[in-house]
Amino acid sequence: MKINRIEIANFGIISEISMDISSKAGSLVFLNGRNGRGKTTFQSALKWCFYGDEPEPTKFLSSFALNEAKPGQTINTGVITEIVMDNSGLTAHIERLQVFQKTESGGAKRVGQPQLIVKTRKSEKGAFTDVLANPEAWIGNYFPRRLMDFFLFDGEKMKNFFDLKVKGAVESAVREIANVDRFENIANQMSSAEATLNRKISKLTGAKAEKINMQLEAQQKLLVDLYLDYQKGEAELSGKKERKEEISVILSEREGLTDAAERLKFMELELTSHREANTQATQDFQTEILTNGIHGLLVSSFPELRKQVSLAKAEDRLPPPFEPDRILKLLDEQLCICGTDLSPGGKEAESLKKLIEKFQVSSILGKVLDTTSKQVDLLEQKMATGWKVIEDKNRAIEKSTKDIERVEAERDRLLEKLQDHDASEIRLLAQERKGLDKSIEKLISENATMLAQSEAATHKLETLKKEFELASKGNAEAETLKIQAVFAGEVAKSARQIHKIAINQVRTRIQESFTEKFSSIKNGKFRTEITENFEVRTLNEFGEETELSEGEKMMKAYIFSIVLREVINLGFPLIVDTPFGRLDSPNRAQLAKMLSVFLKEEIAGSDRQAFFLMQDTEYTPYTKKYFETLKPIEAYLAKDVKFENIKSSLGYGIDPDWLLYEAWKDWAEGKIG
Amino acid sequence: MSDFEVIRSFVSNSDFSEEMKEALMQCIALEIQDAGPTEYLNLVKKLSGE
Repeated sequence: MKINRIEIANFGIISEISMDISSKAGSLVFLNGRNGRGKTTFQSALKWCFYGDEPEPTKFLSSFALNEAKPGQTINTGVITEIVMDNSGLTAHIERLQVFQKTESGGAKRVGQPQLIVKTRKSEKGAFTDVLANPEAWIGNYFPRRLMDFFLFDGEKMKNFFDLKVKGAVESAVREIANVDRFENIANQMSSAEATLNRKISKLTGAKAEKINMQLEAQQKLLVDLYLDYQKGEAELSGKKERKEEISVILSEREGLTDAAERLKFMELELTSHREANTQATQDFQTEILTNGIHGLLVSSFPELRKQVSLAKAEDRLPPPFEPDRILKLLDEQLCICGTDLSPGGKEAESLKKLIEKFQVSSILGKVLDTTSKQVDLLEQKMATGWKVIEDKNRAIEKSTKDIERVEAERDRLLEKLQDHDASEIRLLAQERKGLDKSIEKLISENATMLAQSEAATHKLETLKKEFELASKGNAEAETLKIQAVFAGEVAKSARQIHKIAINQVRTRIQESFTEKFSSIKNGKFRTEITENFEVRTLNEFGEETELSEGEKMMKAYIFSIVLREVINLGFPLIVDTPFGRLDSPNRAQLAKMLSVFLKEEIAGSDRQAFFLMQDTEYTPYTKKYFETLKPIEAYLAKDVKFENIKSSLGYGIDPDWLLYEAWKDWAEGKIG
Repeated sequence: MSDFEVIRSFVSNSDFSEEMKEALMQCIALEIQDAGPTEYLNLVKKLSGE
């Protein structure tokens, strides 16, 4: 299949574009544009056109169109895709339309429901004459919803494709290929025929047989209900597991952010406390510095005093350890307390008198010197203690400054991580995961119970069938009907068996093709295994599951998408938003190589086609080189000078805006071959 | 895919008896026509009588 023309009107940022590539050769289309120019809108418009999936209300009706319209005026939001279905030229025109009306308050209201029109023509040119009566069914047949992810791919999600979506996607794809619903339907129709025949038999063969048949039907209904409930439970379980995995990946990407809000709050408290400590330490430091400064000034202003004190000490002129008056009193009493005779004229008394006279001279000055010296000593001691305090306070300031810096850095890192994420959303996700764990446990238990009930019901059904056989014996017409009923039962059983066989066969074919392609790209002995639970595992030559880089995961998603097209004979184009994402240069080169093979081959009697929607950081002149042999059709979504944020327009070639900068400028000047 | 080739190939490549393969092929034909219960019942009567 090959899209020839896409027209989008009043859809999101795209006010009106008409992309007609019918006359252009090539199967690879590059639609480029900077962020916000409408690439994702383009894909979203196609999704709405084919599947009716509306984007968020703010991204649906073009705000530009709404602004331009007068109150009461109607606005048509529409997307038309013209696609050549096969090599016979069968072409389809797929159009989806929603009418809006501008209200008096400036808002918009819908006028009627969205309309889908599919028209076909038998050749690539001319009018679309055949208007299909059931367009939804036609689209469902050629573009099955279950394979939507392989039609409209999101490169950003590709790296996680095999972690999150693939199980469901592979299962959907395999079931779609095997057309399992059809076999299911055949089985159900045949079971229904069997039941109708049994009812007739029971009526022909009497009350007892009729009664047993009623029980039989009730038992069959119970089994069907159990089966449906079980399937519903399994689907719910699978959905919940998928969601849990999705949440786990999101949370692991935002590792450590689960309690970010609390941590931020705590960090702010911690910062306040460190800042207070810092302020206090700074104040103490300043006070201590001032006090010590004054002490220092005092101490340093008495150098002469210190000199005099030292001299007085050396000359033994400092006050004696006893009072001269007290000694004089002893002399008056003529007897020392130690019993020495101090009678006048005595040797000891004379000697003591001389000593007292000497001390009486130096005592006054000595006392002053001594007191002052002691005060200076005290000041020096205080200064020493003060310096210790100053050092302590300085250390405290340094510590609290470092603490502040550390917590601020930690907070900034957390804020940076949180920049694109809402902390409360993360908390909600963590809560949701807890809830999912409980639901999963409950569902597993319920499903196991249903399986056991189903086994018991099957056993009872077999018993009833035997009883019915006995009760309905003897009537010739009934015997003929019995043969028919048995036959219908056998066809139903075979249809169910073939359904399982088909799924396994397709699974094996995908597995083989996938292994071959991935191994060839990785130049290694990788083997891909699709388990019975549709899990896609990549194994190395020793049969161990291997960890893949994000680029390899993307390549794996591409390969899977291509393999599906080959195995299913799936003809629809591959439309990828942000196709290179995490792919480095070697992987881009590999992708180009793989695509060149893929796009050259015919599929289901029609051409293949791929659309890459790329932004300027992923599409560079160097990337362009890899795809040169495929001669891509290049188009771009450009900003509208007047309505930059609400309207984009389409051009062909490289956006002239790009050519003004960096590599594209060099390319335009011929500096990049 | 739209012409039921894939599911037909599963039937023709299966190990079922020729009679069962024929019955399943005819069922697929009924599926293509979006046939209802009466057509299936008629098919059962027709095939089981052969």
